Amino acid sequence: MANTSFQTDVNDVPDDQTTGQLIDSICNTCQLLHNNQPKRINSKLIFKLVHSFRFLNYNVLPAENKKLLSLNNIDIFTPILNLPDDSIPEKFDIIAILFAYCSIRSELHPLIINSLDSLINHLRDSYDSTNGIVNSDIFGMYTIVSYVEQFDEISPQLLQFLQLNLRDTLIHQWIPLWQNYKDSIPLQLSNFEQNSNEITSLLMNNSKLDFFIATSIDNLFNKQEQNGEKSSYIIYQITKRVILLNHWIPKDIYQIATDIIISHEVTSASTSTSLPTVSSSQSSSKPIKHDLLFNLQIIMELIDHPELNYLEEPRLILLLQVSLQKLSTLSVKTLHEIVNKSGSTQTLSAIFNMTQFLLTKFLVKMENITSSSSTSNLTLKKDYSIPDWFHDAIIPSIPPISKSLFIFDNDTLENESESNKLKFIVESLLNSLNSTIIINKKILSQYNSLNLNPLTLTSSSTPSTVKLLIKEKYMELYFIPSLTTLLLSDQLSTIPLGILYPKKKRSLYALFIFANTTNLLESLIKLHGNIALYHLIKFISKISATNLTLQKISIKLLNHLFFHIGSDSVKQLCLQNELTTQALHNYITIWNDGTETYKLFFEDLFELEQPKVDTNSTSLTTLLSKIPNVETIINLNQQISNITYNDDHSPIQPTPRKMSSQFSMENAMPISTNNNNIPSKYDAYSASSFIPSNKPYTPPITASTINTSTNNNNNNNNNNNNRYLFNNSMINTPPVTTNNTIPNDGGFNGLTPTHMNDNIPYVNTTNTQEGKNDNNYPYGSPFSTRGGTHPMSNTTPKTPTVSSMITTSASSNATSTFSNPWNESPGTFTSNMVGGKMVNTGKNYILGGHSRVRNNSRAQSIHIDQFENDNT
Amino acid sequence: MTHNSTMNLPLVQFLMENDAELLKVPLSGHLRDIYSIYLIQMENNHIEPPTHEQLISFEEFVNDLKFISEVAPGSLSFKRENPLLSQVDELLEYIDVFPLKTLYELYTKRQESSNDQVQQNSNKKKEQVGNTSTLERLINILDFEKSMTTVHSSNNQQHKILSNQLNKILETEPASYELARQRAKEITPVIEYISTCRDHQHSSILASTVYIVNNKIVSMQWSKLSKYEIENPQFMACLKSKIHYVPNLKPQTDLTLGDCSYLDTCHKLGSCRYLHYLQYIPEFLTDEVTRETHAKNIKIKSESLKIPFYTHGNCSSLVIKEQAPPQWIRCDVRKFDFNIIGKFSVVIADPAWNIHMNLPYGTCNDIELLQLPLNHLQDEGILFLWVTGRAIELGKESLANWGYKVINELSWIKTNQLGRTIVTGRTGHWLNHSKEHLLLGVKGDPQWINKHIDIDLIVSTTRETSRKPDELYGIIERLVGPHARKLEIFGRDHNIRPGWLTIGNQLSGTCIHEMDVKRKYDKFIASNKNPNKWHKKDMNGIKSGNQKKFQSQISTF
Ligand SMILES: [Zn+2]
Ligand SMILES: [Zn+2]
Repeated sequence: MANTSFQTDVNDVPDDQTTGQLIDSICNTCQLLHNNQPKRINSKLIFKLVHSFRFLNYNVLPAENKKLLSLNNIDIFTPILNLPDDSIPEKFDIIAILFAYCSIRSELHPLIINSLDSLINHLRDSYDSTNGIVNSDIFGMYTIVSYVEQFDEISPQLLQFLQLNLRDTLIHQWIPLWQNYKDSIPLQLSNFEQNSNEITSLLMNNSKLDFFIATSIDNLFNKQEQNGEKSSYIIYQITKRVILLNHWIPKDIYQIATDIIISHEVTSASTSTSLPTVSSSQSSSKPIKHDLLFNLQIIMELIDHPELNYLEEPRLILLLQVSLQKLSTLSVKTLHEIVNKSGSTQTLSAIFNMTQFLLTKFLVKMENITSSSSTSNLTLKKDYSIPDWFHDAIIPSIPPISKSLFIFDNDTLENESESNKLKFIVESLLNSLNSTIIINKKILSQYNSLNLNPLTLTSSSTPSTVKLLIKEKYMELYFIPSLTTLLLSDQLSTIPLGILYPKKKRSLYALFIFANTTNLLESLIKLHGNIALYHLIKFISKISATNLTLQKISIKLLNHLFFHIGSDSVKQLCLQNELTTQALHNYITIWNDGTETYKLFFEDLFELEQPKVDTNSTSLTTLLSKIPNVETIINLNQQISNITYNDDHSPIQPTPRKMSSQFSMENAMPISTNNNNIPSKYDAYSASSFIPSNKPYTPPITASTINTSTNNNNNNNNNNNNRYLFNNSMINTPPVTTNNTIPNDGGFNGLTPTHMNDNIPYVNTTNTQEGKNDNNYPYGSPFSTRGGTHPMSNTTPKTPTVSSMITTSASSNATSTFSNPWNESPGTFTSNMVGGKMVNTGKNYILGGHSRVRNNSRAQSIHIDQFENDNT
Repeated sequence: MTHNSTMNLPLVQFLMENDAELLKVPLSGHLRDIYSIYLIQMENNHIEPPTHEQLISFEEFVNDLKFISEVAPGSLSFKRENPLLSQVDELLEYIDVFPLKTLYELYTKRQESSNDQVQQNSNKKKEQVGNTSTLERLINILDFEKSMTTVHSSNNQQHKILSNQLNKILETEPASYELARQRAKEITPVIEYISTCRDHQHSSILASTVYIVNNKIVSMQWSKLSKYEIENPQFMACLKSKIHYVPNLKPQTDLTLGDCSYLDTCHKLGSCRYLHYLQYIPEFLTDEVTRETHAKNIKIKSESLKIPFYTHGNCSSLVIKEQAPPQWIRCDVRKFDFNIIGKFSVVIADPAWNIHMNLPYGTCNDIELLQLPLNHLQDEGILFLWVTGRAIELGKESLANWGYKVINELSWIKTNQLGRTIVTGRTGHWLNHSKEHLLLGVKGDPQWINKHIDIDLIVSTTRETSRKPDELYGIIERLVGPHARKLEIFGRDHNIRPGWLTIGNQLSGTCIHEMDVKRKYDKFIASNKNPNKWHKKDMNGIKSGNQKKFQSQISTF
């Protein structure tokens, strides 16, 4: 599923001669086992044989191999079973792995069929004794092969490390499947279609599904006659599994499967359901893209949407898993070529490290949610929060990006049950994460073998400070995802309650992730030497102080790097540099708790005796009193935790004012009565840049005031009606021309009568834009102002005669007096209450005043305003 | 706290020489690291391996540092990164070389002098500096006038220099501004552009040579034109390369009246006595410009495929990603559930304010506008709100309500056919309006905004009633990039655009490509089938049995 071994790079296919020799030796070994010469059979030989089987995949051996077919009438399993248990470690696991390999390569099927009876006989005891016990951990053959192939070599140590415990799977799942198959013809999809229970059991049980794929996949795509939504659904679901198996599927079949997934259609099936009323993009979907660029594009889609809830994106996650798996088979050179072609703003290492971080972050968050709901014991809980700055440090700040259309689902093919969907997505996410770690590791180890250092900064003009900063950022780009991934690994292994997959799988993924991540960090140290080690220790010191779970993980990692990688290269590297040594010494001294965890560092590395640590009991108060500035720290921690739980990274911002429903249209009327002119002149928006205003300030009315005044509602509603009534009447009422209502009554509130000139359309200047817009802005308007004579500039603006102004007396409305339209509070009657303030809609202003005036600035103009009728 | 230590002069020298490096990444002032570097340097300086006496322990090293900082006050300042951890986690926050130099010189000159004298000296110095913290001293430097009066006269010159340097740093434009401008220049597609002739003589020549029927130029008297070419060299060249406005002379036209202020938007062309114009662009010229622009844009597109070095605010797939096709939803904005459309980088809202009552399209009540839940649209980003006249204050209020801070105001200067400022606006109380206002509200602190590219002014022609200039889209796309999700509220058919989601009641139909949005929209429509849904008031009149059903429907919504 997840991975390809490094030996099977597509760029690394062995030549025919090598392949021939390989097959020869496999055949010979099988023969040897069959002949059952106990002296020559040992565990080493068996492990070698199993290891060599990984080269029988379809990348190395695309066509059916005649020689392998000659392995007829040979039983290789019985001799291994006959070996005493202590002579071969994890005997049943190695038999199961061998069995899995023989299952998934059709030429090897006879090996199983020949041994089946003997196997059943030998296992009869355990077969009977455990019969009926349902094993919750069901592994498919392909799954097991993908598990072991992500490691460089199958060794007794590896099997001990993984603890696969495949005995039950072999006995209760795989062997019965073969037993039933032995005498029957290849499975037909039609066998399943009759019975929906059969379908469910096929699709839900990876053993059965894998067995179907291994034995009968040819039938699935050869039979094009099947139609009906049911079969296309089954084909799609099986295909989803097929594309994950990559090089263990014959090339042509794999290609068909990829086409189905990417085009999102089972070709023989009609998927065109009636289009919904809203037009959809699916009809215009893009042509199928087979190129590697498309694989990278899917990963970039993930990076560009760090906010995604992956549980809601089944298609993206499926495509992601396929893409990552495909990319994990490529060499670093090819990867660089694709990234260059894509014009990505991110570098190769950044793309995969960001992917690793985002996937891990999501999984950790999801685990936190599921475990917090299932674990009631608070003391057992560990802090699995990811420091906030991790995200900000490596995920660049980008706006919300529109989703690419290829990530969207075709509903008709995705009608799986929710729980099944979740299970599939979570496992896909874990597989994708594992592939990403492997790609990251591979990039580094290939740089190393090619003697390339990505940190070589060629520009001599770069100041050394900048160079050092770049190095630090580069290291963080690796450490942040890696340490977060180790956090996830710890979470998976220590918290047994995972609602989404069985315990066995959890612990297996925990192991995979841990092993691959430590490998990745090893490669980083190998490539960059002391600078990587120094920065790692610094990084660990920094994060350890913020989160004790990270501290625990960090010291585990250091132990592994220094003492458990089979060589003391890291130890030697550390001792070469005083800075690194001091940093490590500092870290070990601070965190030493007297346990074994720190022992080796003191004794093996610094050649010192491990300081004894006393265990003391103390009350919390005493403890707190010993901490300097304890109050500041508590405050600080509160702040930190506040930030930590603010997971969506939304910055602190002004809280939008609640819009209470009581401010609906019905009661949004002003409380100030229309009888009183003075308060009604109040305009909350007195700061208008257009309407000069010098109103007396009235404190804004708060919402509570409105509540108490709801009994005015009726009244207000009436006013509301009046408002519209009045407006209408104003339009219909013949205007009364009055001169004396204008300036004399002080209604101008301090404005001089010269302001009346405002209705003269006079523009001071239009030439200021001259020449500015021609060249400076290539994207500017072609119609930018470029001076020219203003039409009015020849005419001296004429002050309108007072008599030409037409004003309206609001005599028709008894509730308000309205002396002249130039009153600078023209909204008197339309003032509304919003959020405790009054809002002037400006309606009266338009209708009551200016618009009713004839275009008096152009006395001779024949243009007729739409309101001109009023004046006649 | 007293020390019996002797002054560690090599350490003083070491601090003086390496002050900057010790404080920067990767050492970042960590005492352990500085100690290690110090040891390495001591080893390198001595030809013979250093004696045991010369190799001090870490504790002695820290003590020496503390002593130096005590004797030369202000020379070193310490900080604790994590107060929970022990002293070894202390950091050196700042090294002031000046007092260290003084100290060093003092010691090297008077090596014989006693510790007491140094102590005296240091006390004297303490008085001078006045026990001020590093921050206070920095502020003193910034406050130039204060530093003039309070700081000892001998330091005056130094403070002046420092102050100048600081001002210079503060005034320096970050390279990102220039980089963002350059990037915009390199990758923004160009639009077709033909300049306009301003030569009045050309206009009058054309007026006498064109033949106008039905307010359209139907032909030209080429023979006359070539005659004028002799008198006005360059005339023909100008005619072939620029836009000309030809006076549309009619029997009723009275030239003494001047230009009609409505120009091409004049409703009374048949009788208006003012002067009107017709635009003349040779057909081959528009073709040529179209071709050239197209070629230029292809080149720009291909160049942008090169690895971009300035990536601020860009998504990783900037170049390869296809821009989202136009999407639109026809709906009553007041009743729309804004939660279904997700988050946006930029929102434009062009509400029909009530102030536009006399204009021929539907209006949205001002209060209803204020009550729209636009606070759901962005976690962080910019909202552009078109406001008219008096609505400007309501607009500011609305932005605050939705959680925005008004940060800028963009003006659109409306121009007419001749590219001159509009004078015929019928709105405006004191002065006639010839511009429109666009408020810019920001929410949060969006780091990805590309600032300092465009100006806060658009000068362009008016089109259909209330249609806003397309230049705004360009400004926004440069601000947030082509792939950022963008929303326009109260949009009409002419507003739909790639990369944008447009919603409004005057759109024709609905088109959604983002399936997640579409699913939620379908659900919204389905749940909305119940017509009573939006009239909560009606619930009072419904029997209690039905009411329960109602509430459950509302809660599922
Ligand atoms: Zn000209
Ligand atoms: Zn006219």
